Amino acid sequence: MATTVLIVDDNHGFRAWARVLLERAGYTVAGEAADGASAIAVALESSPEVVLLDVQLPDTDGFEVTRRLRAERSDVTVVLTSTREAVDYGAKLGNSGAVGFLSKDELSAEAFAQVLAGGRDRDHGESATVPG
Amino acid sequence: MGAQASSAVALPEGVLPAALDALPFGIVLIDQDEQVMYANRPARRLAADDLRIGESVQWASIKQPSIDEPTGGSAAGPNAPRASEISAVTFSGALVGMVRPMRMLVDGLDDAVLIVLSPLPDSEGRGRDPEQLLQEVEAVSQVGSWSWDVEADVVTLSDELFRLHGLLPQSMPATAATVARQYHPEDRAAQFELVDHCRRTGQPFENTHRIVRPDGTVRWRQARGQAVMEDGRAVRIYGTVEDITERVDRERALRHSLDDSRRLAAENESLRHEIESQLSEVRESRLRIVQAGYEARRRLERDLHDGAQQRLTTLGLILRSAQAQLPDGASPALEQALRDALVELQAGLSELRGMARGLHPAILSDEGLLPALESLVARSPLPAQLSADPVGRLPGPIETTAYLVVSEALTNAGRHAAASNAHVTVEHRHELLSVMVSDDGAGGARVEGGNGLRLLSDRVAALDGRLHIDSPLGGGTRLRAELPCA
Repeated sequence: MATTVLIVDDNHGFRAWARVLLERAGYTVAGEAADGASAIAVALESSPEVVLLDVQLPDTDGFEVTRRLRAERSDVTVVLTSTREAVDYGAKLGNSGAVGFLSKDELSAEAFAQVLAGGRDRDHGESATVPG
Repeated sequence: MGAQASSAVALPEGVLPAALDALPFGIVLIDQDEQVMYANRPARRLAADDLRIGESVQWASIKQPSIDEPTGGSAAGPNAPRASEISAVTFSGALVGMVRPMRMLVDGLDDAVLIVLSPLPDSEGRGRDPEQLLQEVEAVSQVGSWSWDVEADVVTLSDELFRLHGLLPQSMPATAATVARQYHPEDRAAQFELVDHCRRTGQPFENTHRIVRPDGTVRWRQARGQAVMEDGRAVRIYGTVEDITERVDRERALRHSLDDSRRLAAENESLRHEIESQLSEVRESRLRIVQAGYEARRRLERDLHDGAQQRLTTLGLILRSAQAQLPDGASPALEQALRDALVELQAGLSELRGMARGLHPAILSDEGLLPALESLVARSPLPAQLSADPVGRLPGPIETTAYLVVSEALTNAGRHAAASNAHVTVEHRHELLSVMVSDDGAGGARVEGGNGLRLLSDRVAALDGRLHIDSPLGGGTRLRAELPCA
């Protein structure tokens, strides 16, 4: 069964093409959201397994949304993304609760799969590499 | 003295007269007809032309001789002082001294009288005339005296007082009115009132007033006066007048000088306030300019992030989607073109990201100075280490300035000084943030030498901080910025 993904980004073009990319790679896009509040609402409603979450949102940031999502649903996997690089966020990324980070210009089906695999490894108690 | 003495010792001719002339008092020898038989030089000088040998004495005693006891025999002339009498004697109306006549016997003469005139005033002031002494004292002290016979309205002024008025001594008869004419017009009424009050009440007065001399010069005087009362009426008022013009001038000059000093001090104070105010405005303005610059950099970074970077990132997604949709057997040239496009896009995005980060790293605003410096050191092409005191969030301009100091120093160390390592230290003590960067490069960095250090120095100064650079040639560079953050 295909992994379900929620795409959260305030840029419509990014959401549309990320959907294309992920669907072509076999993921099921469970929904889209343009800000933090609707991201949480849609996530609770559609229960995606994975949330591809932009750090910069109009109403809050991806770290806060991750914290709240994980508080509501500890089984949800969050992958943070940004036009910036991981180094621009420092240690905050490691403490965020997300399984990984993908710079938007590195986003591909393969890279996405790798991050998820790393997260699963971590969830199974194995060593994992948090990108960045 | 006498013929016996002169016969006992053979005196050279002329010695006796010379010795008599050298006496400090006058000697006159007259016969019974009051004819002058001898007068030594002091006596002749005293009496001027009234003593001529062989002529009668032309003198007048201002005190009638009193006869203590009848003198035997006939006395000298009717006006001549008698033996044992002491009189004040005038010649030609002028007092010349005291007279002590004594009867003596001279060979061939009966009733000859030797008159001894009191010692003449000499240069040491012995036997001085009190009047003359007073005049001298008045002249030296510039104090004149006056006396007003109120009923006769005759004012007697001392010589010095005439001089103080700019007049020759005793050059005019004085009345209350003539004296009053010399009062300064502005002081005249008050002076009248003062003297009149003394005249009516007998109370002494003292005041300071001005007179105008005939040549128009104005003099300041200190006057004192008091009245002689008889039957409740002032019959005479007398007093002294001291010329205090020089003292007043000195006081006035001193006052002007003090006024000038006070005015100057006030002007200095005002100027100091103005300069401080301007300096404060300049400081605030400089800080605002720096803050505005930081804000502009932050806005530009955000615009790049939200705009161009976002679009190019989406473009990358599109290209990767296109890449994924290429059918098997698609043109290799097309595949290559897509790969090349993505590589170029990646490089462009990387440059753009670096530029945005250089303008203002997001982590600085989001996380503060230390996370931003950790990120900076981690990204630095030059190997670098960071040692830092715990530093919480600080005002934005301080964080940004400290960050830019480290960023610029690391760039210079790697790019211009060919350093192989750098160390960044952050201290936060006593409300002073110190940021130090030391490297092992070529040294020789100067604020005046470009490399952005001048701009950095200005940014630090805008926050009332200081930038120190120790960079000897060949000895590496130690750059330290101190930023007050109270």
